[in-house]
Amino acid sequence: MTEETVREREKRLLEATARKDRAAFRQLYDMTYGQVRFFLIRKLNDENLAEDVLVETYSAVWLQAGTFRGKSRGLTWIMGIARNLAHKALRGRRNHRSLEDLAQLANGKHPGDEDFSRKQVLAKALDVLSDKHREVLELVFFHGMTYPEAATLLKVPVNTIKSRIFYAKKSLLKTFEQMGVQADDI
Amino acid sequence: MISERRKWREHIPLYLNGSLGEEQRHAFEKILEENPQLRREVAEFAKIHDLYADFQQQLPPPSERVFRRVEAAIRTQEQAPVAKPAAQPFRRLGKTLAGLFAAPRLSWALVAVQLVIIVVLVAGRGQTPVFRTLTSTPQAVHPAAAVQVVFQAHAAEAQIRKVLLAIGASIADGPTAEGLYTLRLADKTNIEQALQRLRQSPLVRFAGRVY
Repeated sequence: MTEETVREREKRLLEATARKDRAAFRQLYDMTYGQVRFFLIRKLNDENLAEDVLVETYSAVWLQAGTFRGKSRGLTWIMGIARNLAHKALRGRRNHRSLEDLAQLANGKHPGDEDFSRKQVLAKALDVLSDKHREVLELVFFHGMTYPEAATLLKVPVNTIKSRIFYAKKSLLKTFEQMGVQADDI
Repeated sequence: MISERRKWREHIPLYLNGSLGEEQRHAFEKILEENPQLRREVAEFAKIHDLYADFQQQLPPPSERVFRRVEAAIRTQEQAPVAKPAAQPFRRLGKTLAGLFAAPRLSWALVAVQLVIIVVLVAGRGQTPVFRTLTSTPQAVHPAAAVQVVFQAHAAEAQIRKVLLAIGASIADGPTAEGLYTLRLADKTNIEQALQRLRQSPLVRFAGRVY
């Protein structure tokens, strides 16, 4: 399945959800659950709170699907809802979930494992980044968004996304240096 | 040249996340073969991309339990009575008013209205008030040459005319609802004498000066 088809499918399922098609809604949930959950856990640093916001997000998707105009990607629209609800839940508290913790949660590996340590160094470096830089890296590399999609979600100009992503990489390389790690070794 | 280089650099994250179209991807790969600096930067970004790709593969399957929670939340919201937005018109009115008062045009309009009111009030200060007391004089008659009189109810027009001609007076104003006439006296007429003659007349109930 090509990326374009994924986007079209998201759009079709959202349109069907707007017509109160429960089967389509379930497919949309299955399709996007992992990404939205990852996004919320990273944002909220609290799995229980992330689950509550996830439930709120999908309830809102069901109720507001009729307002989706198809101008952005379906996933971007859903994550926009999730992001707003997460900000509401945070109420000024900001503490994103460490990728290290997520790595441990994901595959049960420990810092002593060879495969894990490489990932761990990179994960630590990513966690040192500012929220803005880390967020844009995640949107582009984890969620596979284009610059305009990330710009829509974060409500910033496309050029801001472009500059943030390059500053994020620059900052990451600087962090490697400070950690005494050669980027080539990662 | 610089913008061209910048354009290809900006393509790197999109090349790695698969967002470039086929044509763009081929063009980018061609440039990549010729440009070691670009290749190095692609390799740097690729490490970040690979890390996220690992997590992408390890995403948990959709949770049935969470979906049941979503369904329950939807049911609750759909069953909840739709609250009529009673405060909505007021909120809208409030917003409109707030918008109006925030507009500089309205502020200037209010200043202009206030100025007009001030000018009208100041200009009207010297004028006679619109209300009149029983013995106040009409504007056309100078108090020095006027008297006021109330005739008896039974006084006939011919009798009143005879009295007025006798003292050289004419009606300047009246009658009011109370039957009060303002009389203009002829020049050089002695007001006190005229009043005395009026008061002596059985047709006159009241006669007095104008103040």
